[in-house]
Amino acid sequence: MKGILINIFGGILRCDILAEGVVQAARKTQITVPVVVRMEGTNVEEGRRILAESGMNLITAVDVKDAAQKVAAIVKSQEETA
Amino acid sequence: MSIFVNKNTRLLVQGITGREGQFHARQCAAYGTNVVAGVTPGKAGQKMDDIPVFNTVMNAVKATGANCSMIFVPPPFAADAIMEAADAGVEMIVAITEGIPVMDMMRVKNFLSGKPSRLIGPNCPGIITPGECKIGIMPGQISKPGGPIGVVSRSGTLTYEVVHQLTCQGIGQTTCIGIGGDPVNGTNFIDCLDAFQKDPATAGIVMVGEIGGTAEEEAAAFIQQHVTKPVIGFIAGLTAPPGRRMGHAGAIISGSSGTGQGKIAAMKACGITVCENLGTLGELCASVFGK
Repeated sequence: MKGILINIFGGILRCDILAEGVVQAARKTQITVPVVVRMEGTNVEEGRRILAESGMNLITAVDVKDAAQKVAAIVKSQEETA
Repeated sequence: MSIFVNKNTRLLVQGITGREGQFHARQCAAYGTNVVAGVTPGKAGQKMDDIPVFNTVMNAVKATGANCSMIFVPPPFAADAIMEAADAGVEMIVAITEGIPVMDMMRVKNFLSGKPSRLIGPNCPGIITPGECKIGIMPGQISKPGGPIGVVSRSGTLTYEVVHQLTCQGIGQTTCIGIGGDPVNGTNFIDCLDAFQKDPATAGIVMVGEIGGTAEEEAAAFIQQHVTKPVIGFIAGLTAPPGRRMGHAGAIISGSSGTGQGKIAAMKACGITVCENLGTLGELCASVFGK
């Protein structure tokens, strides 16, 4: 596995709760593969703040197309350098 | 104009004192929806913020004139809650609850037949007429009032994705409905397509289907015969392996029926513009619907 894409459009799921979960999981697993997170919807500002202040190396994307392109580009560049 | 709900809708919330019911009742009220009552058996006389709570739907309707119910009741009791709302004469029943047993929903369908109540869901995000009222769990700020596009979808998240992309393109919505992902549900694609066709403010329709069942094929045939407005379609779950359920109870390919490719072919054959890349749906809408 070379990269993870998380795409959430929060309705009943609040983005702040999701962001907390992502940050906790990334810390616990000491994640080394790149993670691209795209979030929109309920409580999105709070969610983005949590991701930004986490100090974790989480890459954010503005929309689903951007997210797919970012994660694909990262994985491709890894393959080229390998 | 809009379909099914508007600024005159008077909403009651069944399960208003629960965690999700309370949070989303507040979100709906903050959006501008007239939230007039809540129902939780045994808690009559209490208030949630300024909203009075009643023991039964009948009492709530009598006291407040509520004509629409949003249901956040847990799965084992949700079918009973839907039937209670219909029995009290509530015109529009929006069931958010996920996980209602199929046998329970079959009883509900039977109970509702011949009654004037319309059920949306269950296992759905609800319905929003942007700028007028929001009945459900969808984020309100992503929608854009004023039309002219109607959105109907089996998927919650994809409803938001479509609405957000439309709004980013400067295209507003008349009404957006999530009909839910369960195999037995209330309002279907055809009910919504028919209503959008008859709504003078709706100029075009986006329909989001997914694998499993035959709802999209039936909707495509209906569109060919009865819908003159342009329709853009999207089918979710194209990468799902056969036999594996994908998120929704109804989203499963069994044997050769319910495949995404079959649905796309049926939609194309009926004159629907099919979007094959979700990331470009907004741009496709802009080019098909104009601005």
